[in-house]
Amino acid sequence: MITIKNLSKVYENGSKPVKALDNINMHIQKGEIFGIIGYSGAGKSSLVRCLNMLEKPTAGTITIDGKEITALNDKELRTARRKIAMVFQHFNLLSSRTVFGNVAFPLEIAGVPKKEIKQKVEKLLALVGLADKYDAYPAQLSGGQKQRVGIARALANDPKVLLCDEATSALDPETTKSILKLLKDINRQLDLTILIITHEMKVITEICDTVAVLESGKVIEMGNVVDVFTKPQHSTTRAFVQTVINTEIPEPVKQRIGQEGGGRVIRVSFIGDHTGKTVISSIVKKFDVDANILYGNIDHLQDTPFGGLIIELTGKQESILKAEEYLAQQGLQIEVIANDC
Amino acid sequence: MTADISLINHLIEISPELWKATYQTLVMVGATMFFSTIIGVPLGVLLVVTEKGSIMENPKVCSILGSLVNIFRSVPFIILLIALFPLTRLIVGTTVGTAAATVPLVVGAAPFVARIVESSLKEVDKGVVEAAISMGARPWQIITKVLLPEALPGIILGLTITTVTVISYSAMAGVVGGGGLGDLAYRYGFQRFDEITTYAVVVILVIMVQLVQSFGSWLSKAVNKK
Ligand SMILES: Nc1ncnc2c1ncn2[C@@H]1O[C@H](COP(=O)(O)OP(=O)(O)O)[C@@H](O)[C@H]1O
Ligand SMILES: [Mg+2]
Repeated sequence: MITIKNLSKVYENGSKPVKALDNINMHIQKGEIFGIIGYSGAGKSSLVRCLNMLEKPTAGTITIDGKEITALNDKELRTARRKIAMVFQHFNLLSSRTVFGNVAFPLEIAGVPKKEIKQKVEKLLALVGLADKYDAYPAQLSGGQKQRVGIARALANDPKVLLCDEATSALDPETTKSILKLLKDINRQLDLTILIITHEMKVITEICDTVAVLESGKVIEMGNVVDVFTKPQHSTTRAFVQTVINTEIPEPVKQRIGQEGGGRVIRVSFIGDHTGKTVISSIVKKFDVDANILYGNIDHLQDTPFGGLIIELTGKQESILKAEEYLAQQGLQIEVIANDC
Repeated sequence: MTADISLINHLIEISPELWKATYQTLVMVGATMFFSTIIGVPLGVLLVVTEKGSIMENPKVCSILGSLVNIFRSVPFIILLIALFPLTRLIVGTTVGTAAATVPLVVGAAPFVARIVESSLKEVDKGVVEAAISMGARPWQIITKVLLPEALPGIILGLTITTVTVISYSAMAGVVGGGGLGDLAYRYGFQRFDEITTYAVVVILVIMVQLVQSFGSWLSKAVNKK
């Protein structure tokens, strides 16, 4: 659906040129949810903005649905843009128009007759669950509702591709979840290709099929989400994976860790087959240490379990170190949180 | 007591003149605002859309229009009034009367409106314009469906300020033969030492400005959905 070849983007407007994208190559399949993750400044927005030519690429070609959009004139580009919809982090709704008016806007632009607009908008608002907010102005809506309007608006001209630049980054976790679910539903119902830009690994694990990790304008890792997640090759990718595995330790557990004589507390994180517990019991047997599980969480990425355990180890220091070594050999990530022994 | 009666008698005596002058001022201000808006709004829009990085980027047009607006805005109104006599004669055929006063008023107010429209349009969220571009909107559609509606509350407030300014300028225009309240105050108050007429004119002007300002503020609020 989308093919990007040797794409580069250099910004020349500052005091010195900034190379935001450096020879990007990727292919996005029809009907998939493709995620692009990277830290702030990695070039994510530049990349997605090149896809609808909000930014002109410095070099390279982009083909969307068989059309080389980097080779179109102004008029052709305007027509092509109707099929490349975009959802924005800050919603970018028209404050002077109602919810209805906002969703009707792209249809008006495309010259759709009034009667058809009305039917289409009603259908779209029902799809995003906002049928009752028809007459409301954006100022009267919550962030999540605004983004639903943004999504309905994006879908108005039956796009082939939906580009989402940090579409959930301005929303709280609960709302993020519901918006991601909506995107997934749309992806299934309409067989719509979705490109999601984010700096949160959670978003990737939640709904993406494929992921590309972007750093300093380069793709440093790309592939099936489960593969990249279970076998991250690059340190940046590993850091992103850690963000979803190491969830916040609950307050009572934290207090307990702080207490005197609490022993050595470690965090064991795992992805894939070993769900940790069996390994824990084997270190107790093997190394003459006591292991007390203070906290644990397990999550699933499709069928792959992942999570972390907070364990308090007591015993001889030597034995503890040996036990830790053993855990590491089993492919588990170890992090020492407290060391009171 | 007798003073009060003579005051009222005097007011009754001059009331036809007062009404006529008020009417002339209203016509002058109304016509001026009508033409300044017709000229100033497109000018303001052009100033914004031809700017570097905007939807109809054209640095040449932008800087020419900008200079033109600045030139007219830097000439004090009283000088503009006199300097424009030839133009006024060309358009209206005479340099005296209400219609004649409207010409310099429009020339003075239109660039003012242009700048006000310009600054209101610049307040419009860039992201919203970008969203419209990403949907394939043409420049004309962006102007009429995004920029102007989004900036409307600000433009209305700006036009209100302009109207108040034009009311005071119209008094100046009156003195050089334009009629209206300024002319009346000048002829009675200054030339005949008729203070009562002067104060009556002041009261009418204050009421006029109050009404314009209240209406403008109300309308701006009514169309603002932010
Ligand atoms: N319009 C611009 N002009 C100049 N530099 C820019 C512009 N937009 C982005 N950049 C620079 O390009 C780099 C990538 O930015 P961006 O694509 O916004 O990254 P991300 O979305 O991943 O945070 C940054 O160094 C940023 O400062
Ligand atoms: Mg960004």
